[in-house]
Amino acid sequence: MSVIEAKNLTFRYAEDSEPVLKDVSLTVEQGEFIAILGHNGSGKSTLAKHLNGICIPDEGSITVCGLDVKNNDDLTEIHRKVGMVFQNPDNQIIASVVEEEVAFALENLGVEHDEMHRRVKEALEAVDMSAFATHATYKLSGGQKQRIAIAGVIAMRPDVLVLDEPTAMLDPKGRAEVMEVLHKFHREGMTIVLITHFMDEAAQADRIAVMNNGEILLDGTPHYVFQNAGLLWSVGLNVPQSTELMFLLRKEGYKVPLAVLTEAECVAVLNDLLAGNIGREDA
Amino acid sequence: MKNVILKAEHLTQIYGEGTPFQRTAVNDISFELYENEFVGVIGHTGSGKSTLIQMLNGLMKPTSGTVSFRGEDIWAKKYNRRLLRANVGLVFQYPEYQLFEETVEKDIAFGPRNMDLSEDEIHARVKEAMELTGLNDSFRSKSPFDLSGGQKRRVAIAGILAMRPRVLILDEPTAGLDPKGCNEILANIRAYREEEGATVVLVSHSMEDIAANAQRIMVLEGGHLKMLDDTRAVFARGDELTAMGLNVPQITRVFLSLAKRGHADLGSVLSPEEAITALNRLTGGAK
Repeated sequence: MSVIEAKNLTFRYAEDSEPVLKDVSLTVEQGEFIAILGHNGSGKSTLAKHLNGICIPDEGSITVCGLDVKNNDDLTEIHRKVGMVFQNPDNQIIASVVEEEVAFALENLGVEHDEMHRRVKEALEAVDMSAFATHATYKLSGGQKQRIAIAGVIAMRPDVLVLDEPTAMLDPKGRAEVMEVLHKFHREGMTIVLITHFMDEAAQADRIAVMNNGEILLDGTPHYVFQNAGLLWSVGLNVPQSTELMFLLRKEGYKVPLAVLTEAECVAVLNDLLAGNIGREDA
Repeated sequence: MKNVILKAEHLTQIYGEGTPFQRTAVNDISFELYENEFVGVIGHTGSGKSTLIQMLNGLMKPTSGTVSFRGEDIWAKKYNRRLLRANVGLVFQYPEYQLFEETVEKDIAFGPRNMDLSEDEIHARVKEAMELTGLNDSFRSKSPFDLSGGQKRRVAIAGILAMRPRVLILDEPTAGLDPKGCNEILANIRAYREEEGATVVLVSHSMEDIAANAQRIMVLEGGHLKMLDDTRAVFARGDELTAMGLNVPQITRVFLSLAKRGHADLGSVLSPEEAITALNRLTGGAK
């Protein structure tokens, strides 16, 4: 079942400006983990804002869990069903105490007191931050702050989690913490849309959509997308170092597979190569 | 012959000394930086990186220990710290939030203008800094606030370069930029170092960027200097870095793993290009 169905979206921020999205169609299935890649200004954040009705398309249609974002009466429900997390943790944390921060949206939704406590507790457990429930938010690390921001969204029990470069401001440890939380929610069946500049994060998704100049350039599994390294490089993007090495080896004549993303896959191929199991042209 | 340009001896910074919140952010760190070298600084959040670099140009006075620039103690009486801040240029994280002037030209000129230079000299320096950061003449009269994130970042860096620092320190200059934006900024930094013979200190969470640029790496943890060595030697200690919540480039990890499987003769590898050289060496040379 598809959770998000975007058809022929076109969107401009001002009437006389160039469209930021040009005829974009994207379907996201229930429980899918999709990453969106693209250079700055490619339209990925704008696309994300269409997924929960922050932006309404000028042309085309988009439905979320069967609800039309153009239908004003459904917008509150859409905001609840699609939770968004943004790049800068400091810009989205309001409360001074962790549990109050997580409860903020629930209070606005008028969730009953006992139920609210239950959900805050669950959400903090889900992001592994229970020990910090009564701590001051300003003292947390970047990774902890982002996990609190995610908990605040999770507490609303959304069907879809959309994250716009949630790890851009974090150190390697903070990035790993956030990715671990996303994988956990994904295993539990949540639909995840992750916008990122980090190729290694995109490589961990089920599927990658690559945006360029307001259009979808590539859409497929990480192995499929990163095989198109030449195309990605031409639009200012990158591939994991393991993939890059396979391209360089091909240039040297080695008949290695191109669809290599992870450290483990790369080690396996190089082991084969060193054992003499991989042929070479002109050798 | 390596000339020392900046020297730190037993640097310590204690925040909130004597209060219940006392915390030692930098703990007894000593090192020397040489002219024209490129040093990477890695360490996770709270390891003391930002505190350390603010002590290097005299923005923060150490609780104890000394910093000397070209052999002179920067906290000695009558030492000209204003001039030091031009000589040791510091680019903060997200420097684009510090832009404030009406035009790009005025913003870049702000530093040089505070150095009592002639108008001609200021003009020449702004021009040079704009060229180095890939900003063409059309940006001169634009408002910095009308630019894209990557362009704003380059204006902010140009503002520091225009002071022609002998030591350029950058705190995560590529954070939040897309891969192309990152590469452009790093190319600007390399060009400055080459043309001016300056020393560069790059604080970054991107191990790939550090591996591709730095000759030496400083590793900080909990306010201590844990390692200071050649880039290759530091990344060869992948397990220790991982234990500190840090990382090594993916390609380096692949070759560390191959070494453990009996291919130690491949040696250490810092980039895909080096990987090719190492593999060709073992399998019978380049095509």
